[in-house]
Amino acid sequence: MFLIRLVFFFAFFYLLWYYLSPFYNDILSGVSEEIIQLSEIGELKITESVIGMEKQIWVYHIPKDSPPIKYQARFVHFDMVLLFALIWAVPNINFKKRLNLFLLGIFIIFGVHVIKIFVYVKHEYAQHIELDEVRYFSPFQRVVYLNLKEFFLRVGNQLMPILIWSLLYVKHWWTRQVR
Amino acid sequence: MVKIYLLFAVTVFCLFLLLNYKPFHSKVVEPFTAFIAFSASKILNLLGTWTSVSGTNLSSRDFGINIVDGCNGVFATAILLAGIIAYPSRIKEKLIGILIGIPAIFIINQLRVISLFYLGRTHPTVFEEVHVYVWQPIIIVFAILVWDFWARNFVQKGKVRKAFVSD
Repeated sequence: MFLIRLVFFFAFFYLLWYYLSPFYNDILSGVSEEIIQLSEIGELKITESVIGMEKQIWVYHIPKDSPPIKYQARFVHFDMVLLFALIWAVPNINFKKRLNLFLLGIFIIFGVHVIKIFVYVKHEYAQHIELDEVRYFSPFQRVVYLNLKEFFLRVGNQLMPILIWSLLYVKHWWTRQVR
Repeated sequence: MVKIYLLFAVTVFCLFLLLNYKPFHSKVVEPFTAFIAFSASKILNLLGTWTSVSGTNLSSRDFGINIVDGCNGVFATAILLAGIIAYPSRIKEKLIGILIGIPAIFIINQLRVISLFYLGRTHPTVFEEVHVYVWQPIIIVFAILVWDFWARNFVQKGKVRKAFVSD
């Protein structure tokens, strides 16, 4: 039952994600830009673009004549499809409670996406400090941002939905396990 | 429960660092990935599709794929192992979980590689979509199901109940 519901909701949220991605990119870009600029990176413009089938988030950085960094949207926020499908697939939860968990899930995963963009951009700056004489990134900072970026790309995209879902459903899940 | 989640997070991160550690990567992860390509090639040959393998590259006359880090199931296995290690259970039960989990992820990953190879040959336009949007979630959901199967069938409830009640 859980698996059938999961497949159904995954397909449903995938379609929603596919069509709402540009809109979500806009919101994510706006918030991320504010957060990143607070962290001493001054001239930065994040925008979104849809090129053919591929949704991308573009980051324009210093120096201004350098090409923008492009992040494929799927590497930033496709994980929310799995999270939402998992939230709606769990059987025997009343609608109001599920809706509350769903809204909480949106809020948490949005925060994770902002952190991801923050890490990606910081990493990009840290790897190209020769282009940017204003800021200094120590070798330690470079390693940290590199590892965080790798972590998000390789593990985080799979891990975060599971982790958030299990935390949201912690009581339900554990009660089931000890039964 | 907080302890369990913390242990899970720390274990995932440590396994990630280990898998990314260059000597470990070149001596363990890369040969393992090459073995995935090799065994997929053998299966494809048995099924009548002639393929050859070179390192992590798997190719036939008209199509080829390169199995990279995200496609070898290693990180999904790491997440599953972290779940098994962090879950309140005895060492023997954890070992059973590891013995079930690693081959299970390997087998589902072989299915992924073989099906994607066929798909790439016959429907190259949808290869990328299925590769990213279908198989990656399947692998991680499968890892959860394996963990759930292990936790429900091989772990005595005493320790779990204790961890739950203590919170």
